[in-house]
Amino acid sequence: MDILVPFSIRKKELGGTISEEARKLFTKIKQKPELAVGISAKGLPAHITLYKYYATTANGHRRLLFFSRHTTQGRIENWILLFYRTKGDEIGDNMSSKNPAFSTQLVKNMGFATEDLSGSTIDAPLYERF
Amino acid sequence: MTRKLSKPTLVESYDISADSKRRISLRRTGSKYFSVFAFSDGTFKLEPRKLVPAEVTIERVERVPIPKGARRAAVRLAAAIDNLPRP
Repeated sequence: MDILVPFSIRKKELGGTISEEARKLFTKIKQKPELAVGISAKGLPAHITLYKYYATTANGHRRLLFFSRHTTQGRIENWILLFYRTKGDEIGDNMSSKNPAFSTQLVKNMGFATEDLSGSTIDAPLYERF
Repeated sequence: MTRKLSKPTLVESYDISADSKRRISLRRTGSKYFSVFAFSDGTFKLEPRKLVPAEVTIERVERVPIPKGARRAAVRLAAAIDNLPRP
C-alpha cells in the first residue's frame, strides 16, 4: 500500500511541505492500515472507501481522511490523502456529513486531487508517494 | 449455516479451599487465560479465553451517509487513480 499526497492537498492541508510528523504518521499508517476506520456509505460506489485515521502526535491530535480505490481482490495499494487536520479544527472535529464544512470541503478536495492525478505523467508526477 | 458444538463432559471434580488471600489453584488447566463469571449465589464459572492471533484483524467500518456531490467527485477521482501513469 502506498500513500499518495497530491500537490494541491499538500498545499491546502499541510501548508506546502510534508512535515516530519506527517511522514512518521504515514509510515505508521502503512504498517497498520487496519487502525483506520472505513466509512461505508450508500452513496459511494462499491469499489471506493474513505478511511478516517485518528492519530496522536507530540503536537496534538490529528484527523486524517484517505480515499481508497480497491479492486475485487481487496484493498488496493494506493490511499489518497484528502484531509490532514487537527482535532480543534472546524473540519477535523467532525468528519461526517452532519458537518456542512466537511461536506463542502470533501467534494472540493476530491476535485483538487483528481486534477493533480489526471495531470500527472511518469516524469512529472503531481503528487508525492510514501 | 450453523455449526453444532459438542456438549462439554465432566472430566474431574474436586474440593479446594481458598488461601488467606482468597485465591484458589486450578489443577491441570489447559489454558492460561480465563473469562470469569461470578454469580449471586457464590458460584464462579471459568471459561478458557482464546486470544485473537495478531494477524487476524477486524476492519472497523462506520456507516454514514455521504454528502451530496461526493459520489460524482469520488467516481472521477477513482478514474484518475486507475489512469495513473505506471512506470
